[in-house]
Amino acid sequence: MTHNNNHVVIIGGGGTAIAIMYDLCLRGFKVTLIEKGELTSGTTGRHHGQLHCGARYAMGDKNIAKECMIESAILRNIAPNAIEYNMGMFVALNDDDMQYKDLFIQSCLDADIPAREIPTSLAFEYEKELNKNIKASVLVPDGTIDPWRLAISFAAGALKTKNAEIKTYHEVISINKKFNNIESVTVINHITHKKEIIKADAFINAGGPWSGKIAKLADIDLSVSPSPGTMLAAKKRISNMVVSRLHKAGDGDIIVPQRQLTIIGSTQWISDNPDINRVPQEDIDFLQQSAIDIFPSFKYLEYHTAWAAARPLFGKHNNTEDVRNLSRDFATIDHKINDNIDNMISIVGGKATTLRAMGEVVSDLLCKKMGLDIQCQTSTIILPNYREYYRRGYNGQTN
Amino acid sequence: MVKQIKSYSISIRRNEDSYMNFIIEMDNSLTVIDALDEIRKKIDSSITYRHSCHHGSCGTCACIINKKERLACMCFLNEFEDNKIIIEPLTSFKIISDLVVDISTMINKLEGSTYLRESEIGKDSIKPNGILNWNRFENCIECGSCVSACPVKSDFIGPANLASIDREISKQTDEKVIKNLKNKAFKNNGVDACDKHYLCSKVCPTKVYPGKHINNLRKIKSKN
Repeated sequence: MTHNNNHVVIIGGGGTAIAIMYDLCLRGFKVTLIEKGELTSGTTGRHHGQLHCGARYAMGDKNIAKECMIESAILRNIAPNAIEYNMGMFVALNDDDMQYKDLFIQSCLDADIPAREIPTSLAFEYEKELNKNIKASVLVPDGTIDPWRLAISFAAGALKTKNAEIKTYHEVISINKKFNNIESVTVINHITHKKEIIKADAFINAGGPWSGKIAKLADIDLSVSPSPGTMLAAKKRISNMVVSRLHKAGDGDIIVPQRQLTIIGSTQWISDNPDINRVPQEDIDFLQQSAIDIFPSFKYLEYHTAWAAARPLFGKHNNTEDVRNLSRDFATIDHKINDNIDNMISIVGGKATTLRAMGEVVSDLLCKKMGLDIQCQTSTIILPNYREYYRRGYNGQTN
Repeated sequence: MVKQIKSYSISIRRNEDSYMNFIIEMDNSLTVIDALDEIRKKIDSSITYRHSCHHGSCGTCACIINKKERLACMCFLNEFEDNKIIIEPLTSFKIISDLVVDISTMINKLEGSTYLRESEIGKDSIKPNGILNWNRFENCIECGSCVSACPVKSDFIGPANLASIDREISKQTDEKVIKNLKNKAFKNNGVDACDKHYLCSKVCPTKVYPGKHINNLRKIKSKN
């Protein structure tokens, strides 16, 4: 593998950080990823696992819908072992839902998502447990991701280039500036309990809902609102496909089957703290009822677990009502522009489905800033099997 | 179940065989992984453990909880009546730090041309265009619990590896590949090294039941 003599430090170990690492490694950068815990131990791993074809966003934001369609197709191609592809179905349960049907299908088609209505009799053939009163059903190319295995497939791809160093259990405790540059980060190695200083040419803050805290270490005020949501899993798989409620995006309207489980997500609130240590009972009750509306027999499924994770929303938000309408787009922030720091970029927001695209956009920006003309290659190269991550060295060890 | 805030005594095995005890107040509907998160956040940021999905599907958080292999994220605090929990790393693997073990020795030996399988339900049902089979991930989440629980001390490729061989034989059509897989299973350190304790099946969190696969391979062997 060629390299271009530039060393980049990425702070964070979620899907976005890992995808940036992979992209930069393929472009020849030396990359050190620093994560305070295990990879994907923050938001990414706790994702309910929907591979979004974009239909969920089609009525709200056509560009995001389009991007999801493109990215979900790429991921199905490059990471086949991390995706259960059984398609998805949007179902209208009542007359209110029906009002959206034509607009929904047209919005999908406008975003290049091949949505098509199927007779409800056929919907029952595909999904035997579906509510028999559904009024319409629309097929879309959704799927289920194994978020851990998808992310470590990207990590394996990065390690394969021999340009990557993954430092899990390393926590950044200070960001050290010299004039208008970040010179290094000081990290504490939680395995040896020793401090290390890591120098680099450029620094990327990809800490998801923790990115505001990381930015603060560089005296940068980065507006990030951790926006947690609850997910509920039942012990039996109730459907083959991802099944969503055909209405304007709301809480508790996505059922994602995965292995032997059925997961329903999610709710949304705003928190000051990205570390979430509660699962509201009212959320669990609400999610259970929402799942029963779509699959009546969900009522008889045994409780598996419920958990919460914080989405990283860009900007300051106080009102829970507002955030559902917020764009699920991501923002890349070049800190030269507002904060007069030449060599640091933050990325906030986004979705699991678009992790590869986020890696591309950040890497493009970094190349542009450094005056390098190196193309992205991540959309066509098939990723190694996720098991390669273990073979190629993990948990702070490198081969 | 009534949610209650309770005080828990949590003892974590740290490096060099020492244990560290933490007392924390937690909602009893939460899990051991939530308790570890809470300790790391509020008391000691240096404890190291693996976790990702928090719903029993990634397999990273397996450890030994009150002497049994468990997924920490699927271990609810309300099941510990005396509110005392001892957490130790899996055995049979090299310890990297605290509860973090190196499971690559197991993963590297697993068979499997694909992590996907065809669903056993709805095989003959109609499927949408573009879907040949209803796809499922393998049930095995490669957590290492079975390998840790297995009491066999002699040279043995282990329950996870044998289960993966049996699964792969059922997926393969190439006779040559199947023969190779059988050769691996039928070597001295294969099925014959299993002492039939079946602790592997007892601790499996996702109903793979490696013991069942080992017995399956034994049947194939006796027919050969």
